[in-house]
Amino acid sequence: MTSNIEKKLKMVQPKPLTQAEKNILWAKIEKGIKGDIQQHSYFPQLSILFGLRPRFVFASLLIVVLVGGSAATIVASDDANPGDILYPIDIAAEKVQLAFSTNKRKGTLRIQFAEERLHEAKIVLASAESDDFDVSDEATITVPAEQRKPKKFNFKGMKKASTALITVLENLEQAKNILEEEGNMVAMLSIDSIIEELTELAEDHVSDLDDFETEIEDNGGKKLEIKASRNKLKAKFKFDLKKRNQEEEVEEEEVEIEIESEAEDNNENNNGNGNQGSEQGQEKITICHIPPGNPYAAHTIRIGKPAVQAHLVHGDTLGSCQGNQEGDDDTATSTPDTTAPVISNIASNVFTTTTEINWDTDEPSDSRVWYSTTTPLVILDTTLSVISTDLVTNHTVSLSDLTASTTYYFIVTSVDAAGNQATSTESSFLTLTEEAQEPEDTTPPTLSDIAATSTTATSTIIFWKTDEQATSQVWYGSSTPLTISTSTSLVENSDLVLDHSLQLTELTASSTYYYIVSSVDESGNSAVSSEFFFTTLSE
Amino acid sequence: MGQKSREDFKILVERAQNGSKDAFRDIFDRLSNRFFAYIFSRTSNRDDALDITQEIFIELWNALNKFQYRSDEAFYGFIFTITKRKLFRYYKDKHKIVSLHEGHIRQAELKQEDHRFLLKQLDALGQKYQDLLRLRYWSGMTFSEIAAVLNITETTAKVRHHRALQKLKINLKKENCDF
Repeated sequence: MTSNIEKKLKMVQPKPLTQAEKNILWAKIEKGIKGDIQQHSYFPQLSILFGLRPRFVFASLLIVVLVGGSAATIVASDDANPGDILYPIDIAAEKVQLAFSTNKRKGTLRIQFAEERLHEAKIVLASAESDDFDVSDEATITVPAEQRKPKKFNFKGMKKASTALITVLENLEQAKNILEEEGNMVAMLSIDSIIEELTELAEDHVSDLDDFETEIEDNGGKKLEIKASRNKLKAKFKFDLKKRNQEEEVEEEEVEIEIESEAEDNNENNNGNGNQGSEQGQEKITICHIPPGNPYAAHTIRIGKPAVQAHLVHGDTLGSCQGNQEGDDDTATSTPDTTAPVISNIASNVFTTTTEINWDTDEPSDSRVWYSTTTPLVILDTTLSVISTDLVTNHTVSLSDLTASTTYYFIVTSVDAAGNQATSTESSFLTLTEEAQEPEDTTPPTLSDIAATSTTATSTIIFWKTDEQATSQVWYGSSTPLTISTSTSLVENSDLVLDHSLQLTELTASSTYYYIVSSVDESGNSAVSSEFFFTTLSE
Repeated sequence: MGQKSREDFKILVERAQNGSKDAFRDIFDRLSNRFFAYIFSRTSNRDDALDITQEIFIELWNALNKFQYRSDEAFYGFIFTITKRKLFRYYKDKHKIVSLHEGHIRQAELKQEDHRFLLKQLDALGQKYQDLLRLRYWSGMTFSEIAAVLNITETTAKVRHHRALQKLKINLKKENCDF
């Protein structure tokens, strides 16, 4: 039981943030960071280098360029692809070129730039296949041989490619709008066809993203990001289902009927075996079927190998659709999971009234700790337990409101997504006594590297280091030996640090000062240096 | 304190570092109140505390790239460094002395007088002890989190916590208060 005073302390805490307050706070925060989001991914290292906000870095680099500072920068940036740090300089340089050219030339220039963008996008897409990165990031996609040969992708490259495609599209659309405003229809149509080509690239990429998502090692975050990228691409590019629909409607209906009856046939064939899906007979491929003209009714189906081609032609994608849709073939898993997780490395972190229990499992599963002060521990409805429903492989559960100096007996259980449960054997822990062990720190800090720097006529900064966190004091005066009394000049700082610096000001020029430094650690042990000196500069 | 696994938070931080505003929102939702509780106790004014909290998260966003994830606790420590800086500047500007907090009782179970009295005694403890108790009971931090936030060892945190409680009890007894 938590002691009375602990309970009461909890009760007097200030009123927590209300949801309304949180929302307002977030709105203000969002406003504060809004300007930085675009540049964030381009300028991470640059802004640290310059110690400036990204916007200022951009502007200052641009100014350098305009003032004829470095032709080298522009040449270097010309190799930059969307998503590279130098890419915005590329764009900026192009804008400069446009600004200085005649109207006639502008149209041509824009088309030229648009084509370069397309080319760059292709490069970024290609490098999503390279193996420069972590092996753990890669996923080999083994896709039915008809479609394509196995590709190897990496996570970072895929993300970069997705971003690049969107960036380039926005850029092209902007150019197109400007040309339309300028009335340059010919140029506008050229841009249009470049956009079309880009859209095709994007469609292929989305298809790759689907495959990549199903194959990549799931750690939650990566799959989510890929889904987000894919959705963004789908939203931005408005893949031309509508156009194809008009041309191929009838044809598709026929193909669909053909395929669905084929699937039915296969199901009937296998019914007698009591097997769900079809391990026997034809090899089934899982695809996300997007009914033409009705993308919201997309659902997952499994079809025979020969039918895959036809489906992909009209816009379906490999792999299941995200989430559960109506009409989904939920029997898409091949073998049911009947293996319980394996629990290992059970450890407890014990305090007086709380304890943390940690353990690992070999597959994602939930976390539950049953505990009691009696042994043997038999799990009943009335047994205390703490549970976390997140599916993880590293588990941590905190038990609180325990009694100090008491032995508790506990069992951990983990249930995987398929409902298989693992139960550990009984363990125990003893909570600490209220009187905590007192470690005596009787060692004073060690002072080192004592020096006076940046000395001017009227000030100096005294630096030194300590080997443990400690406070800072500097006594100083004009006479030697320096005796420390209440009237001695003193500058101090009570922050606990390892690197100390204190500034002495209002000094007399051309004078020698004598000083002593001191540091006190948390436990009150102090160290005092011997006497040092410095001389201020002349006026 | 949530029971979310450590993996979860690490991913959030990394996503936020890559520019994901949604991930940052998530981090904000999870942590804002814990830091707000501490900040509010160090300023005497709820509006000021809200402003400071806002500034902290904005600065956190900008500073994300300087941070290399080692553990959840290290991340809280990172935020706490920003917090201390902001508070230091706040004091310089306002010369405010922390005093009683009127009328913000979380639960009305405790009698008004007791409540005010306990807070007064809490304020009378040294800064170090106050901080520790606030982080433990108002920000709901574990000892390992407190250790990372205050840059001390976990044992020191536990010892200091114990001493803080003892001192508080003694002070309360002196005033003849039955806690």
